[in-house]
Amino acid sequence: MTDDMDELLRADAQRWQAAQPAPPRPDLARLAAARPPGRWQPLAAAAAVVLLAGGAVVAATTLGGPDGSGTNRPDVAPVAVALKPRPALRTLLVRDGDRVAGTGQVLALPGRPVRFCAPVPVALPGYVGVRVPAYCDTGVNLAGANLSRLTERFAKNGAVWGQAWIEGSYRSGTLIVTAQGAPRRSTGDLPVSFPDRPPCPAPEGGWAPGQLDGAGAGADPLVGYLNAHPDQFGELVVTYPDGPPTGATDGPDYNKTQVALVGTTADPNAIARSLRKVYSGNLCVTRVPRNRLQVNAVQDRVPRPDREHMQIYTIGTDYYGGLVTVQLVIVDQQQYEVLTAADRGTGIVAAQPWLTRVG
Amino acid sequence: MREPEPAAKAAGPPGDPAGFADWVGPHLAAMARLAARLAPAADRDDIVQESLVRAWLKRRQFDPARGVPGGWLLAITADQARKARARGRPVTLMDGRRVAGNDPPVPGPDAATPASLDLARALDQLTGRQRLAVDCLYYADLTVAETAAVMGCAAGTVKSTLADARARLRQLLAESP
Repeated sequence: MTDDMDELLRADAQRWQAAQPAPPRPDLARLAAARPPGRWQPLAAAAAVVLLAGGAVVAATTLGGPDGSGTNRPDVAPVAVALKPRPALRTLLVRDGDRVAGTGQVLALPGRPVRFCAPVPVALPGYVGVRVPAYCDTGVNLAGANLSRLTERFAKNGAVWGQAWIEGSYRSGTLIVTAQGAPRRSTGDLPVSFPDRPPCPAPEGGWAPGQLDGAGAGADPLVGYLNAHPDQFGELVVTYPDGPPTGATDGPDYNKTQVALVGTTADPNAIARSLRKVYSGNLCVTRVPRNRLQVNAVQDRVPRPDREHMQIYTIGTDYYGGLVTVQLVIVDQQQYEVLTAADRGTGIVAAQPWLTRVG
Repeated sequence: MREPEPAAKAAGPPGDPAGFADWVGPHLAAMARLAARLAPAADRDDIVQESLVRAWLKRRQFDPARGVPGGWLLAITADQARKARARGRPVTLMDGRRVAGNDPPVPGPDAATPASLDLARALDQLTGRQRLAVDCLYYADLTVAETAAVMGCAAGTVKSTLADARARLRQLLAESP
């Protein structure tokens, strides 16, 4: 490869590479907190029941055109999206005196109250060796912890820290320890609903092999169309009819056939026809509970994590499920009011507190 | 282009986060470059971190007998980059910044020489596979084997795709005013 075009590409690539910032360092906290994603379970029947926040029960209806037909039309899912059950905000509320539990870092710094720190994703500077952690705002004060019984315990310069599962009585930002043990794996995933497989039947002749951005079925016009109509659409999800790549190794597994799953709040049949004008690849359209504008309006009302709102540490959107996902330390009275003010009765805010009630 | 990864390095990933971080360390730069090329409007670092999380969760499935770490990690990165590009959903970061997934990339101050603009326009006219091969081999600086892992094809197919891409680019640049 020593032709003129090879040299031109090499030179341009070198200029581009020189302008690139250094790669990020692995976020060890994010790795340690990682859990396998929940798996979407396909609905067995059109009359499957979906449980939404607040205990409301909605039957997933057969989709079709205005005439009620079209359950087997190409590109359209026969049933609506299956949402993962999630608790209503009020069921997460922790009042003074309630017993709560969670796993995190216990941190005792000289001259500071002992802290129980939430597993917040942080960018770690490169450092080899033992470094005393910084005081954590995103957590609670801890009273009565046994600092000699921590897992992965470190002590340096008068500071002691390590991991622990703690159960205790919560009072005004302080956790009074009643039980302590080794770190426990969290059982709570964020209630996102992305499916792995398309909920549409394969078209006659089967799905076209290949990926969305290959083989002339580029997804960019599709993405552009969705972005231009946020009042009609939720998420575009990449799904795999044969199951998602396992990541076992390199090779053909990573070239698995993909299907663009589009969630819409409009008539799926009409939407499918519109999308076909801009996109020729594998497509599956399904009805979702809310569009992006509705979700974004609620997301914009959730306070951004800053020094005044350190109890909230991540905010995300699940357009497919029509949710705003919020990870926070605990849903105490103050945070409950913050979240309900953002939610305004829509049921869109899905909270995942680190410390949850027990007993 | 870098040299192929020695087979002797192809051991399985360690089971502790710090050891895993060391294991992926030699491949981070290539992962970041690949993420930046395949999803230029998305958050490059977030794609890399998400790819590392995926790799961490699937670390027991890595089979050194069937591939090298670089190819495995880069294929995961390519998958995450595709998802980021396809989704384009906004993400709120810890510092309150909001990243809109499909906003056009902002060119750097010295990125827009006339020659590079011509080449960029020509690159945009390649087929998806041709563009992917060029991005992987030249811009992300992957080996042919790593590019094959990302593209899910044989090394020979990568080479022929690159030859086609260069021929097409030569033609496009010759036709440009």
